[in-house]
Amino acid sequence: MKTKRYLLFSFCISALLLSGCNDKTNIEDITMTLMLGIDLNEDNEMIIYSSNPVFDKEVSDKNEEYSVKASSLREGRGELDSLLSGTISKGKMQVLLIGKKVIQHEDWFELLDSLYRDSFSSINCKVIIVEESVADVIYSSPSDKIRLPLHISKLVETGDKRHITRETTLHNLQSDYYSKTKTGSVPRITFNDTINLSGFTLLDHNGIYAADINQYEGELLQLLSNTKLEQLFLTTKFSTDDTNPFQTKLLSYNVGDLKRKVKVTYENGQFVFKTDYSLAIYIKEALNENPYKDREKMEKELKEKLTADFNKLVKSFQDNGIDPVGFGEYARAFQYKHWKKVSDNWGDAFGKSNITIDVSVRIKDEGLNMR
Amino acid sequence: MRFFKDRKNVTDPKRPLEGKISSSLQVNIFNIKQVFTLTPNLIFRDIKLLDRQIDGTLVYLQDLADVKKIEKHIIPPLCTGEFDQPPHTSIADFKKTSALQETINGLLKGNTILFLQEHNEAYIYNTVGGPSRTIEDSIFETTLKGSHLGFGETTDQNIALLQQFIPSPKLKAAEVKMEGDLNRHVYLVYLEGTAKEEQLTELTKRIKRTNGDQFINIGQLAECIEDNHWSPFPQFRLTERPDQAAIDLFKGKICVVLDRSPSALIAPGSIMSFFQSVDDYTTRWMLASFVRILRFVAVLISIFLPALYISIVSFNYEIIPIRLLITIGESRAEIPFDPLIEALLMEITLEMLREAGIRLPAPVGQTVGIVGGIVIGQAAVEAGIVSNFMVIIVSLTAISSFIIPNYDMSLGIRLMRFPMMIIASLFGIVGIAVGFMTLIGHIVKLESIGSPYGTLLNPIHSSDFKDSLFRFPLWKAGKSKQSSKD
Amino acid sequence: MNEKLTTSQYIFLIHGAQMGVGILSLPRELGEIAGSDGWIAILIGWVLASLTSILIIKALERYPGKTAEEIFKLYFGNILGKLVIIYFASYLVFFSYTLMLSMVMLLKSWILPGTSVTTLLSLLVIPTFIVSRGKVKVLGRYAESTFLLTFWILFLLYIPVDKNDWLYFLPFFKDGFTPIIESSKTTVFSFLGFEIIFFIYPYLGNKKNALKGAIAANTITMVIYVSAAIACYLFYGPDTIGNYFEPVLNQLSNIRFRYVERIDVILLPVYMFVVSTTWIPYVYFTATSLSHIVKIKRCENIILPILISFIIVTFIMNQDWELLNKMKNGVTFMGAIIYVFAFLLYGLSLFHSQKEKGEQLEN
Repeated sequence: MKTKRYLLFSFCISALLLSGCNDKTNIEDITMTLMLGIDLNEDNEMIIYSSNPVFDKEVSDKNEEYSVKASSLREGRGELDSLLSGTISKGKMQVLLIGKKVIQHEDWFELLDSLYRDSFSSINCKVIIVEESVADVIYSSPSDKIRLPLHISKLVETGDKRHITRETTLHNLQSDYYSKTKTGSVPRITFNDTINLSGFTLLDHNGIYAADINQYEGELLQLLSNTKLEQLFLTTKFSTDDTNPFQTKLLSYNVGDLKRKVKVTYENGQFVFKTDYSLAIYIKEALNENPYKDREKMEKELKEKLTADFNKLVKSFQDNGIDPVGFGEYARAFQYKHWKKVSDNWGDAFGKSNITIDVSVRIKDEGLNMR
Repeated sequence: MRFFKDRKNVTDPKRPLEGKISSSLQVNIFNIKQVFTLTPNLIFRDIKLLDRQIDGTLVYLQDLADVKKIEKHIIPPLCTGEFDQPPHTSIADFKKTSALQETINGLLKGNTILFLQEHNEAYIYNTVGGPSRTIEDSIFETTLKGSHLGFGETTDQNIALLQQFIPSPKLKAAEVKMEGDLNRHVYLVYLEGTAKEEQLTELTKRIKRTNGDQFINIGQLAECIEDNHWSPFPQFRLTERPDQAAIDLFKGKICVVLDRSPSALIAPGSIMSFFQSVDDYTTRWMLASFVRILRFVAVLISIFLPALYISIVSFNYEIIPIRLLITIGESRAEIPFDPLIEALLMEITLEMLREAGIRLPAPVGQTVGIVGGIVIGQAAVEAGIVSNFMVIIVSLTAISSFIIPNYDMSLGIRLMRFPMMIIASLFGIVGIAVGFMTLIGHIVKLESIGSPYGTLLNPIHSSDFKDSLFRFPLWKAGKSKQSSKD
Repeated sequence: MNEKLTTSQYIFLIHGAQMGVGILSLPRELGEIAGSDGWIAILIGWVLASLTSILIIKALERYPGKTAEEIFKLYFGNILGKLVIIYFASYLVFFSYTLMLSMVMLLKSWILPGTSVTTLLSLLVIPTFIVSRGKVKVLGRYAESTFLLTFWILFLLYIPVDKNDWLYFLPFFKDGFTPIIESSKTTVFSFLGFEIIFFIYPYLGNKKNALKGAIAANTITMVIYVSAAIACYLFYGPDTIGNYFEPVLNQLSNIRFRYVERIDVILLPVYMFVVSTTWIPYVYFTATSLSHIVKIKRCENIILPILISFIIVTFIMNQDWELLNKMKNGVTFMGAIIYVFAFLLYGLSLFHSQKEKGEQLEN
């Protein structure tokens, strides 16, 4: 009797369970969007590009690319549905390419809404600004490379490890966008025949395009923002000889360790930042220089050079009214009352503040060579 | 149980005889003959005691009783010695009875019965002989360094083996009679003071109400006395190894020995004990702990890996990195079947191969392994019926399930794989989680003769924590001989 | 009454009952009101919850052998006592249903959007049925095992946190104490679940540890809440913490290991274990409470009807997050009454003991 009741119960349960499972889609029936591109054409219409892997062995091209005109990502997906055989999924999106034209318009960030709203889209997707046309990048399928989305993704990952660029995920982009103490920075790629990383694009506090910085400046930016260092490789030229290229005096080194101290005060209606950076460096290459003998001289020269570069970079930030380093966090933490007054546009207030940068360099290792 | 009871009255030739032994020798012999019709090896041997003054008959079943013993130790002293009460023989193990039934039971065990004229009592002499095998290593539970002794088929021998391992007067063997006409009984072997009283009484109670008439193997007994019949897991450990049994006895467990069954039942069972082997104590503690952890990983793999594959391929592909995903996608692209069907196909093939291998003689068994493993696997992949990944996963689960040292447990765990696969194909990883929850809930709820079964999961206050997932060094674990309290 | 809980089972039963789905959104709720100081509000909630737990134990202490229902009848008389039991039964059943429903809704919106709520709920009914039919001891063992199997989730929250983010916490008390007090309204109710002491105290083997155990349970919960809130705040910072409904899950979705991505998809189902240690005991204790009102031989027999009615209600009802929020508010309101009730019960117990003393003196 009792057993019969349980059997009936379990039968009902299993009938219920079997009835309603609509989420099953086998991996081979999915069209995975690995790379999504957003760009504007000449008439300022938005074009959405998508690049998907093809699993079937009969197909020689391993990626398929599509582009549609749409006014939002979700609308674009509707259009794509009529083109693609599989169910579209953004679950494994690796790269989001955004044309430079897009970010020059106000409120472009609203476009990305569906990526944040959908629990299935990948928040770890890397955001990259494309200098010229997104179409060029998406439709270039280099035969000597792996699938393009994977290639770009790998490029950024390795670049991040070597601090050539910094991986900016959708999450980073969003938190920079909403942050009241920091403005955004997104890695930028240029395309001529091959794809190469070329520094950062800086955004202002509304997320709109503010400035570009090159690769060297990008590395300095990472030093300034006290990124956890793995392998930051810098080359500093002291003097060049126009006649003989081999007489260039230069030093190449790894920055092994970085300590940052920031003091912030509020004087005469402006924020005063006193920053102190101490770098421990490991010499990897020294042309026409002898870091062993002239250690102190070298340290001093490096210090001067780096201080000048840092100052120049920060000055350019201030001129643009942006704070990609995040000095604002210190302002909020230590000068909360004054910061609160300017919290609506921190970039502007940062532009007006007074900032001094102190760099100290210590050579920790000269390598094996005594000369 | 019901199955056994229904047949009771049909084939049973030995209805209980409620008679007493008569003082007439002829009546007794007639009674015996009536009971044992068509029993060719029943021997009646008339003897005259004390210079032919008293008639007697020795009754025994030839081949079941040790005839040499009878001829040497019973007949000569009886015929030559002084008549006495009891009669003079050189067999120490004998008893007097006045119930006919008892003599019949004695006969069937291989004892010799002596009926005497003018006596309404009979004597039962222990002359148990009959076919038996020598003590061999257990084929079923092999160890590398453990002793190479295995339990045999006779209770006496098995108890003696345990006594050799634990030479202590505290080692008790209590006889418990089961219900039924055949008067079957088992021995509860335990260490006095270490085993728990309440467990002993509970076990005795349960065995007593079991009908043991048709028990061929102790596995049947285990099924009749276990707490939960709706569980895939064995609730008692059956072992063929006296050293394993001795280890468990030291831990306060009770060992049930049934005649004619080469394995002993260890009660109460706990899930941990099924993942332990004698070799854990003969190797160094670090290695033993490592191996034990390996076994648990194997359990997880063998229950969840196929289910996880199904849920990744059908539902939650987000959780694996893109490179691996593309590889899986490429290998899946040409497979016509649903992942569940694909997995079931391979898993069932594997189970069939395993079952085929067990019953076959060793040389043929190997061939089956080769044919199954290499030919079918390779051919199926090449034909595009299953994907490469599936073959890898099935082989991994197979290997994992072979690591579990206890056969019954390994079967139970293998069985769990199928419901997991089905629920994973319906709900993906959520289904697996619910399955896992149900599994944990079930294990936690299980009890074996009143003591909790899933002690692994509550190690905080169980005193044999030191000998569960890890094997702590013996000099540390020395204090904890008690079984878990809760 | 022959089954006894060990102290650790008692601790983890209380702790398990306190951990619900609330923790997933707690950091946001705190962050919105009190910003970086939100975690201090958790401490306030902890103090209040521990205090109430102590009062409950003190009130129950006078009749150590009796179940909660019997004690209610003793304190309030037969009729009023039955009313109290009915209140508790409805609270427990409502609590467990709301919790199961919110877990299901979470699963639906995060992992299985196409599956119906009824189906998912019936899926959860299976383990609930299996575990809750065991007695208090099984519930204790289940709670204990669950804690051991799941406490490591907490550490994962700290993986994506960067070294610079500690600045988010400065300055302390940036907007004074008012927002902290305000947000402690939320935190006080996130400690609801300690009322399970009413039901498990009678089963505790070593009654001396009751107080210590209850405080330990509250403290474990507090530590988990505080560290989750801090981790989440470190990751999102003051400006983005309000962006998501369940920031804890969103934070987990940012974790990327080399061989596993989207940890949230794995951890939400695992977290279901933690949540189940609330609803399973509550379903069981609903059954025990009901068995004092409806005459029935074994209280386990009511569990199946309760669970089936859960499925039927879900099937009939048209549920969305809006409704669920209303239900949660309802549960919180009923829980607030339990806080008051605990104080009342303690007062009554004091009154009773005074009266007894008086009677003794008269005699």
